[in-house]
Amino acid sequence: MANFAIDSKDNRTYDAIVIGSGISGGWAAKELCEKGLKTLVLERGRNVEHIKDYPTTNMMPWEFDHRGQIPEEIQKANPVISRCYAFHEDTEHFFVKDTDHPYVQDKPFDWIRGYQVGGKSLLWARQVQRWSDYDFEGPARDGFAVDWPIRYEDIAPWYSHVEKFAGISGNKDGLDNLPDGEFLPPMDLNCVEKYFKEKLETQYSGRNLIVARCAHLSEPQAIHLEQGRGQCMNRNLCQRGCPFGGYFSSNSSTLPWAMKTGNMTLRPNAVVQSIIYDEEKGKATGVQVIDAETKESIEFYAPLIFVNASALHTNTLLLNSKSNRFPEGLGNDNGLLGKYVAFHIYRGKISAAYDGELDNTTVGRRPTSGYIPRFRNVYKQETDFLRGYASGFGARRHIERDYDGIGQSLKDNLLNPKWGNWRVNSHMMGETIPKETNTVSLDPTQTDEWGMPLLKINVDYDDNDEKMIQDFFEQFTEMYERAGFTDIQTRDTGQAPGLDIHEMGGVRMGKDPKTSLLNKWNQLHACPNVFVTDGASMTSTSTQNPSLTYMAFAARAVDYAVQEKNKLNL
Amino acid sequence: MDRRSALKQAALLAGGLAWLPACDFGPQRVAVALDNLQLDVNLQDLLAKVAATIIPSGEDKSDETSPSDDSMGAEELDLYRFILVMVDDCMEKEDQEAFSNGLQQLVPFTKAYFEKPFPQKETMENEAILTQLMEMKDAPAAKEGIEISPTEQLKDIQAFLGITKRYTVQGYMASEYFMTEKFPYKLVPGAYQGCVSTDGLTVM
Repeated sequence: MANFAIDSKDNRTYDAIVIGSGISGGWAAKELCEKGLKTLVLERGRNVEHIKDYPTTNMMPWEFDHRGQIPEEIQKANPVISRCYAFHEDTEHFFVKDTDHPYVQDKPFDWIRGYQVGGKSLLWARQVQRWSDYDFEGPARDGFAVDWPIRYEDIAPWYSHVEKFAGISGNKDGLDNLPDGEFLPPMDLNCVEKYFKEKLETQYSGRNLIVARCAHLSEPQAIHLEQGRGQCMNRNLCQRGCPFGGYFSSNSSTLPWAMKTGNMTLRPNAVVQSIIYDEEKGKATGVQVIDAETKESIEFYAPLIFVNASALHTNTLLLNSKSNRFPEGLGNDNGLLGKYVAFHIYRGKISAAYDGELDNTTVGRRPTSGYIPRFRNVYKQETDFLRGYASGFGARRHIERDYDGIGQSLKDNLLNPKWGNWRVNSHMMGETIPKETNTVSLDPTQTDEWGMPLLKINVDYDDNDEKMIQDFFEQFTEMYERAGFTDIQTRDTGQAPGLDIHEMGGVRMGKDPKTSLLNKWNQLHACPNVFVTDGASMTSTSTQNPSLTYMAFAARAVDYAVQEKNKLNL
Repeated sequence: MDRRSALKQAALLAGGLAWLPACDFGPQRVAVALDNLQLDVNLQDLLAKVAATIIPSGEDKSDETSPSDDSMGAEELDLYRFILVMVDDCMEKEDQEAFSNGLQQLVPFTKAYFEKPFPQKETMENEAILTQLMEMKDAPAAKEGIEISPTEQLKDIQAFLGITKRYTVQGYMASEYFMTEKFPYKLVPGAYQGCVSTDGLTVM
């Protein structure tokens, strides 16, 4: 009888289901549980518990057999993740191996994934800049994609809501193109970064250098201590998982918080294959799941479903949710599901030397850098390409060591380094224009180990992107020259789309069901009890690191969904 | 073939084994277990000798007033183990082959073409031999009776020495000794300071 009870449909029925436990799924889970909904969180990967499952977090550099380097055999077998800046011996276990989860590249696309509880929130770069109306109004003003169905005022309170809980270090800079938020004390810019800021802001109008806002507890508040998190210790080993909870991740913050309510059931190793649609009821009723380990098929039910499977995988899941009503995928009446995928351009890099401030250096490590908000085409169209780019900026004192020769002289040289000059670096984060031709779709024949069709990715750069990269090189060369920097070197990494790890779109928001999949509440137009609040929902990309916006969308959508549920509209 | 050439050829064929009597590492060591490289304990000992020439041991100058101890070198830090692990795990096959060939050719080549073969008892002498090898632009003219071309030999030896130097330096600077006693690495470094005078500050 006991088994019968466990298997009964009632025991597999919840108030809400969240698919995915990464940065946006964690937020959906927290908000739903706090509002009293019995919530099932499904994660396709293994469980990763805060601190307990960070095996490398307290290791010293010399304790790694290869001093951080990934062995050749693993790199050869996994060329995609091997190109990711964060894939090292200390973080290897948090990356999806290319070989375990194949996909089809119609054009080169580096798809970086973290299939585990917490997803890529363990690995992210923790940069959290708000969007402004100059971003939300982009598509309407410049005539691409579709108009965003919301404006800054709609999301601003939700930015505040997630910022207060996550803990954001930042400075109130008063810039209208990068609105201020709820900030903990900012990190410092160093002397050369301050020097460049001063040069930039006096020589140009509308070009600013700020310290990038980052999801670190520079001064934890009561709400953070209540989460069991403590002050950021500036270790800068974030991607290993932080034993202090110094940076925000689902694992350190939203998931344990949701668990504490007693309303969350977390089920790792649960590969969601499809969302079940009931034609009679005219809504989704649950999800079809394959247990990743036993391959057993199970159904779970809920009147409310949040899809937070990561931008592209959310597309896979909806495309694979076929029914009589939706033969081309759930909510896909207009055939636009999987189209208008976009990303950020990270190809441009520029470095230089600076021979000033030679009496000064920096001490310690800093888990953020300088940031130059987008200054191109902000207030009006002024270049021969659309939109623009934000940029990172960092300066550090170079240490010179003479590595010539061998023997005692070499040893002496290694033990006696000298101060060099300063080195400065920038990289671009460019907006791409979503296009119907940049698509993801299901491979008609190939499936993975769990019976899911492989995702075919067909995404590429365009002329606008190439012009923007050239403009970044030209503008930064000029800005560097005017600041007296020397030995200026530009580099186009030539990297494929995807390596930015800012892939977005495919299930875009919009006002009109004919031209978009989601409404202004991240709700499928054609199946209103399904919400998509991860990167898939993005109508355009702007230039800001997108996670903060996903978090705000997730919290906002839950608030709306629960109100609608209480009004019996859902 | 005269006796001298025959001996040299035998030495070449025997690879690194021929210099075995000159090895003075004391008690027999157990070879580091490797997946890709095939290097016996004698060749591993030879590698250790090369590493110890690149970063030699020094005098212990520490006393009550100065704790500075520069005595640690590649030998004390067992850096040959790190080099072997890195070459075995982190290099492409063709670089592994060049490394392996170069290591095996080192003794025969220096025996055939140098006044004194590697290794010698004195560190300075070994340093002179390796430096000469690393700086050689042209291979010596082939000697009668030696089948492997000196150009090929030198190419592999220089590749081997380059790789070995790279990993000796990396292993030294990423050793616990270097990162605790010489340039202490702090897992928890404290607050970031963006502008600090370099006056009296250790360069690191």
